[in-house]
Amino acid sequence: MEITIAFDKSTLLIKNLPDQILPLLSQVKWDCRTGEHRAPAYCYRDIVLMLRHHKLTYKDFARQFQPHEFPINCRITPRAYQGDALKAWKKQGSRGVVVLPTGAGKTILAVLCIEQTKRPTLVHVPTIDLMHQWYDVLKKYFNIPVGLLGGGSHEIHPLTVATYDSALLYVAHKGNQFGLQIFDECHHLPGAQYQYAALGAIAPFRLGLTATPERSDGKEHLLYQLCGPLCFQRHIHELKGTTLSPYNVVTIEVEMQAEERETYESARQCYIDFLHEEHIFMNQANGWNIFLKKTCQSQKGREAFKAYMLQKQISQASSAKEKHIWQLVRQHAKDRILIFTQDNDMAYRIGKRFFWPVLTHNTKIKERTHFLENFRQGIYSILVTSKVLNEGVDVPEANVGIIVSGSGSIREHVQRLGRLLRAQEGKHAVLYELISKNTSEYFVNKRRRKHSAYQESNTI
Amino acid sequence: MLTRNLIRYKIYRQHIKPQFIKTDDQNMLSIAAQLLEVFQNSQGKTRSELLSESKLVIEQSNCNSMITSGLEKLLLDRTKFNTDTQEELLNFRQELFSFTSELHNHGNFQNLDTYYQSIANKFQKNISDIQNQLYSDHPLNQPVSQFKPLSPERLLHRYNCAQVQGLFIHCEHLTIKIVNPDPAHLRQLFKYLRFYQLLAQITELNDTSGFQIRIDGPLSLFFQTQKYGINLALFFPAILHQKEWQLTASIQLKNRTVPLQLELNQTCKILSHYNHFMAYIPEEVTSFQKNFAKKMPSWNIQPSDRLISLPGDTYCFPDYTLTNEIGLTVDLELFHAWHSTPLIYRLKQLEQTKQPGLLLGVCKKLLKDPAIANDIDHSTYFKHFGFFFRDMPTVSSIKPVLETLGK
Repeated sequence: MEITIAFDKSTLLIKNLPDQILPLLSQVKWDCRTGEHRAPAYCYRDIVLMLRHHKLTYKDFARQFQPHEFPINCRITPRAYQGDALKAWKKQGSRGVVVLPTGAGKTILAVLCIEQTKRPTLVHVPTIDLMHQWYDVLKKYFNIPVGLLGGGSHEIHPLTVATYDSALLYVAHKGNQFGLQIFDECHHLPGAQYQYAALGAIAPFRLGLTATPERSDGKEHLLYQLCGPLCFQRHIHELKGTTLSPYNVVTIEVEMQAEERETYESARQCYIDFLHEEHIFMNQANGWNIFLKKTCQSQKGREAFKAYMLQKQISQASSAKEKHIWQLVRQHAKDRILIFTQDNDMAYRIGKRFFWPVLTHNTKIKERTHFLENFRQGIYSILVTSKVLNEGVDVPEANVGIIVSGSGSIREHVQRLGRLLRAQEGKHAVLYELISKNTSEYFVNKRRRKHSAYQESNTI
Repeated sequence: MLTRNLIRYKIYRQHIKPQFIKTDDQNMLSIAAQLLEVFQNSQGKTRSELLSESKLVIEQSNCNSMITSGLEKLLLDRTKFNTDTQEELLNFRQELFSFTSELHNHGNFQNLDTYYQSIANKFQKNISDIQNQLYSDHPLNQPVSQFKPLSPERLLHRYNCAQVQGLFIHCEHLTIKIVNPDPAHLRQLFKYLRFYQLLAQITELNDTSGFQIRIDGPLSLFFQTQKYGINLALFFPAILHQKEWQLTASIQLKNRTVPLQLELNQTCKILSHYNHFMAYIPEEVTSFQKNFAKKMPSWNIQPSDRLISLPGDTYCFPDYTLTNEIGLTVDLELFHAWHSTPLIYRLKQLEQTKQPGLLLGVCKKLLKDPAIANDIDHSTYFKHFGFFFRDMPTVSSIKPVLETLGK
């Protein structure tokens, strides 16, 4: 009986596998639910290579793609490190993760990989903005119809860009239609759900792209398992001044106004007292959950929760900070400024106070595209955003960043810095961080400054 | 469904127990009714107005705010908001931002007051009016367009159901024991199972009083995964239709090294919000039955409520049962375009049997999948007991198979 391989909801069903091969394929298991041998779809490459190695003939019903030429429309001269990255990736059998800072040309590298791999390709991106950005780039270089999955589009072509969320919906049925998978901002891939976009597809060739492979949960190993090992890496400081703009990071410690300080202190005291009374330790793994649970159970708890929110809000968005924003913006007349906040409320508060465009996930696609386009063209010189611009979106014209508030995440800050560092002639980027003096924000700031990108910075 | 922060549960030893509310508790019913009233009268109000009204009920209720916020969340899930943005507002924003950018580019940002004055002059409006208009399409300002009502008692049942579903999101697999099953209910359960793309391993109980069904997804074979948690959560209300059942689920919460056991049975008395879809018979099905009765009078066709045992500890719930005048009974299972995986499994199971108890009707669209085309091509069972149809089977497509059987 001939061996057959078929694709079934992110897995492979294998029939008539000879007994002597089975011990060599550790991922193939007997499924008593359906009475067949089964393997996760991402093992397709290993299984096929093993069968070929043992000169066993098989019928492949799983693979629903054929080699496909993707000639590049206009000439690309890769930068030296892009050429090196391409070589390193191919040397690893066209699998692996490339780590390059934001603005170093990861998309161009991907275009070269698509051209040389010659297989239908699915590009995964975390946001709709990035999906449109990739669409434009692929359209420009290949000049063929490019499919989109996400943001209301459901069109599949040999070259398709999908958001991770949409790819997840499709992978169980279409995970056998692409030979090359590209994962942009691939540090997302080991996430509890996103990993199935890679696990459930048969693509034998894979490329992971990121500026920051580190994950706070330490699951980088899963990234390398799903995309292939790290094959090339350049750090932000290695490219500064050559490929990336030179930059400064300036931290401004902001003194709260007396009245606000008073409200802050009393709200914080109320919150701290509640923690003490209830014996809640926020440094414990489930401290936050216990706090939330307790605050629901009594009037005092509800007040403590309100107090917690109030002190957080004041420290992150005091009126004193708003004054500093105004001063900085005045100081940087004629510059292109991005203002980052921790959440949407704050972004809208600033937008309403100063009459500036605010870009959040609530901004609809049409207006979002319009805002970004106007910002790039200089029709708008200021853009306020919460987190939607953290990743990937190209705004090379921006040269000043103001972080009004943020989390302790190193990645978030390196990425925010990355928005400003796309090289342009004569550009010198500045990133301001506004920190409320003598508040918990100070420690949050300290945590995120561990990254090498922050080693040269000043505090005012 | 409820978010994790609204799920109430207790953990003791390795067990997790959802904290249900009493659905006949007068206090709870009254709170539910008050919240429902707020939502039922919300047409045209903004999200912010709606939330502040429901907040008032929540704060005055004297009930654990996790419960009241949970009820509010379930009602919000049934509320639709108008999210359109008027073209006029888009144009206004565009004009305003171009103007403020111009002021910035020309270094005309002096003090805030003169800046506000320039804007007010340009748009001939009070600055606070401009401020209010600027982001008036923000989600908090969106008006309610529709609310799907329900009774206070039903809301409390939905809440209890959502408590279990919220934990099922973190479920790796679940096992149900169904005792003395009603075949029609069991059949419906398996339809839901198939609909939510889950896989089951079914074993008959030792005393043959029912079945034990272990449910997870295709990839569960390889690693512990919560990938199918959402499918299992959506599947849960289907279990509630069974009369006598016991359930054990393995729940893996974050920050916990070992999975927790959730146990539940019919005494939880949660009412399912899923309909019995057995009651609905599509028109094409009725017309197939009518035609069949007309053109093949020697055979009687009825929707099936049978459960057939197949090789390898598996079971099948056929769509129809056909009986002819001499008492020969056969079952018919239909595989539509969306049933590719069940068909692959079924062909494999039937390879080992030669008993012609089950006829297979296969939609031609399934042949587009080369794996299925190959399996059908190589299936001797299908050659004898299978037939193809386009959208719905016709009498002419099934007739040759029945005639062969008759011989």
